[in-house]
Amino acid sequence: MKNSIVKDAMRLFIITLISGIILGFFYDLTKGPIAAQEEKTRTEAYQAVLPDADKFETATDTAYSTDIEAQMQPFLNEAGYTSDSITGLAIASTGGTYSGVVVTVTAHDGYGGDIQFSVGILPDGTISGISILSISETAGLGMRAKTDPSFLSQWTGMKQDSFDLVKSGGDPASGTVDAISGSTVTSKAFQRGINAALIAFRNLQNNNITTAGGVTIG
Amino acid sequence: MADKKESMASRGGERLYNGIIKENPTLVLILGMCPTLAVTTSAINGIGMGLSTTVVLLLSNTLISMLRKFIPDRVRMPAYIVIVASLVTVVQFLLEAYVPTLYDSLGIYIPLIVVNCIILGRAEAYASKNPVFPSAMDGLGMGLGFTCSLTILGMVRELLGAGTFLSNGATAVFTIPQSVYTPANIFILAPGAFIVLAFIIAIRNRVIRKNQEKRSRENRKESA
Repeated sequence: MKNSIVKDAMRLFIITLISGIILGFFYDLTKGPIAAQEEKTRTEAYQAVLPDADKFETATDTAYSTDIEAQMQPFLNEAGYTSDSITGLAIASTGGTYSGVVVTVTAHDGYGGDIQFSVGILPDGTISGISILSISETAGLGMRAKTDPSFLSQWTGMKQDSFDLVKSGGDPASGTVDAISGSTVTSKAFQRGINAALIAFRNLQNNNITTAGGVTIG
Repeated sequence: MADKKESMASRGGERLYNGIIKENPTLVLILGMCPTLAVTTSAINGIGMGLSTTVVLLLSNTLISMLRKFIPDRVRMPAYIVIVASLVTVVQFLLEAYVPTLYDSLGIYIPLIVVNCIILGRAEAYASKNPVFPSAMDGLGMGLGFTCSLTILGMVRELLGAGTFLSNGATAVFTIPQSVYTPANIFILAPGAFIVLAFIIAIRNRVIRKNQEKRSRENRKESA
C-alpha cells in the first residue's frame, strides 16, 4: 500500500518534470519572437497616432522613470478620473526635435473590462490620433469604437482641455463629441480616458524634462 | 500484415466519422459549451478556436494513449491535466510568437482549452483505454467535429448579426449592404448563440433520423 503511493507519486513527479522541461524549452524558443511582436505592435500603434515622429523614447528614459501609473494617478484622481490609469508614456521626436507625446491609457470602466488605447498628442495639445491596443467590448455594440472609425476620428485634429459626451449633434471643435448609439458605457470610457491622457500630457509638459536621447519637452 | 493495416485504417476512418458526425462533441455530446458559445461571434474565430483545440486534442490523445500504461490509475486526473496544460501553453507560446493576429482575437480563450471538457472527456473515455493510432484519430475526429460545429455556428451568427461573411474584423469576403439587410445584434450576443446552436442541433438530428429511417426501410424491403 505504502509502496504503491510512493510509486504513483514518483510517476506523477516524472510527468510533471518532463512537462516542465518541455515548457522551458518552448518558452526559450518563443521568447525572442514574442518580444519582437510586442515591440512591433507598440511601435506601429505609436506611429499610427503620431505619424510624423521617427523616434519614440519610452518613459523609462525620462524623469518619469519609476512608476508612471502611480505618479500620474493623483492628478487623474484630482480631476475625477479615478477609473483610468496611465500605463505608458512615450516621448516622440522628429529628427531630434520634440514632436509630441503618446499616452497609453487603460480605462477600467469599459463594458467588457479594461480598454487600452494610445493617444498621440502634438506639442501644442492637439490630438493627432487614437489607436486601440486592446478592447473586449460587445461585438456589434461597444466594439464599434474599433470597427467604425468615425467615433474615434472625432478627436483627431482637435485641441481642447477636455471633451464632453453628447448623444448627437456634438461639435468636437468646441469640445463635444457624439457617443456611439447604444453604447454609452464604451463611449464614456473612451471620452474619460482621452481626457485623462490630456491631463497626463499637460502634467508632462509643465515639467521641463530632457530624455536620455537629449529631447527636451516644453 | 496487410489485413492489420487495413483494419487500422478503417478503424481510424470510423473514429473520424464518429467524431465529426455520429458523436459530434458540440452537437451530440454537448461538451465544451463555454468556448462554443463565447467565441463563435464570427466564422474566423470559430475556425481558429476549433483548430487550436484540434491540435491540442490530437496531441493530448496521442500522448495520453502512449502513457496509458505508465500513468497510475489513482492519479490519472492530475496527470492528464498536467499534460493538457503543458500542451496548451506550448500552443499559446507558438501562436503568440508566430500568428499574433489569431492570438489577439482568441485572447483569453486559449488558456480555457485546458479545461475544455472535450479534451479531458476524450482522454478519460477513449485515449486511456485504446492504442495510440485510434486515439490520435479519435482526437482528430473530435477536434474536426468541434471545428465544423464552431465554424457553422460562427458563420450563421456573423451573417445574421453583423451582416458579413468571413470577416476578420477589418475586411470581409463580402458584406450585405445595410439597405438590403439590417444586422440583428442579438445574434452576436449570448442569446443568439443559444438560439443558433439549438437550430443547428435540431437540423442535424432531423437529417440523421431521416437517414436512419430510410436505411431501416431499405433493410426491411431487403429482408422481405
